[in-house]
Amino acid sequence: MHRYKPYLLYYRTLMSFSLPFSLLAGIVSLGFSDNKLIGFINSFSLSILTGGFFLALFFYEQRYQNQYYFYHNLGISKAGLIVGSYLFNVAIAVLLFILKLYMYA
Amino acid sequence: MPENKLEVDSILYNYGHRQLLTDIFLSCDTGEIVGLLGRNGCGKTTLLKIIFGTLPTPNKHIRITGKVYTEPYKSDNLLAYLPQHDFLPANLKLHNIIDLYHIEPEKKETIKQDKRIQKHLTKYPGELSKGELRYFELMLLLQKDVKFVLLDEPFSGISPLHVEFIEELLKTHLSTKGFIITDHDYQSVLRVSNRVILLADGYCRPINYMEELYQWGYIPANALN
Repeated sequence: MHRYKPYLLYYRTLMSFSLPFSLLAGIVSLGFSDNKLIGFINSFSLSILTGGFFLALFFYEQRYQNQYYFYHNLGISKAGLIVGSYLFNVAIAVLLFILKLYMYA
Repeated sequence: MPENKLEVDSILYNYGHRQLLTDIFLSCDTGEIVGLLGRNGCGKTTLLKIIFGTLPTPNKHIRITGKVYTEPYKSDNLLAYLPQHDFLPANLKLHNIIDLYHIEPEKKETIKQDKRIQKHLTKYPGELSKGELRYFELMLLLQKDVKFVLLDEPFSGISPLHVEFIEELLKTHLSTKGFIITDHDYQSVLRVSNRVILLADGYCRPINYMEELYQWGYIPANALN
């Protein structure tokens, strides 16, 4: 578990940028969807996998670029952190997709 | 004392059209502090990042105790790098950072019991002075079982008292580690180093006398007095 903690820390920081943006995307979509909850889930999932995620990477690079050395000293590469975080988001999107299927059923 | 040797060879690095590093050779043994001096923009930080493995370059050869590595930082217990700027997450308290960085309880305790760190454990990195933060960062890295530590401007912007604390800290780990240190506070570097290298015009030049620093244009003539 200890070896995954740095990945979680990085992910948490990325999400602090990505989450507000993705929630906003979800809320905006409420106005355009027939089924509001499903519209929210679709937009939120799409955002954390695309725009929200890349925007978060951009902001992290701008503000905390030097913190990558915190992870490098633990043997973790930048690519490893980014791929790890993206997989987290994929897992969330899959869970939301399952929830959506459950709601349709 | 474990004997390890870091050898860096054939490093080339271009910055735009300018060749910043030209066929660099550098070595460091356990128990040695190698001071790396050079003017602003001569490539000291670049060189340290290349050695650490985070900066790709067209050509490099990094050997640690006879084994070649392309990205040494990814291998366990080889290198640690103290970057020029603060690198700790601002949203974690010092005791959380220690717990995240070290698994072994005795290492955590060594840091937490340090008289200069103990009183700051519940603070965030941003609440520490530059000197206190530098000391903590160094303590964190020195407790790792790495063979070599690369220090990029550890004395920059800190008070003479903290410079002394840091020098003490380096000396206590000399039996198990080797250090490559670069800083513009050249007097501290000269004081603490066993060997001094000047990085000028893309080459590493060994320095044996202070006069050579002047001859290579690193210090003004009046600094020799």
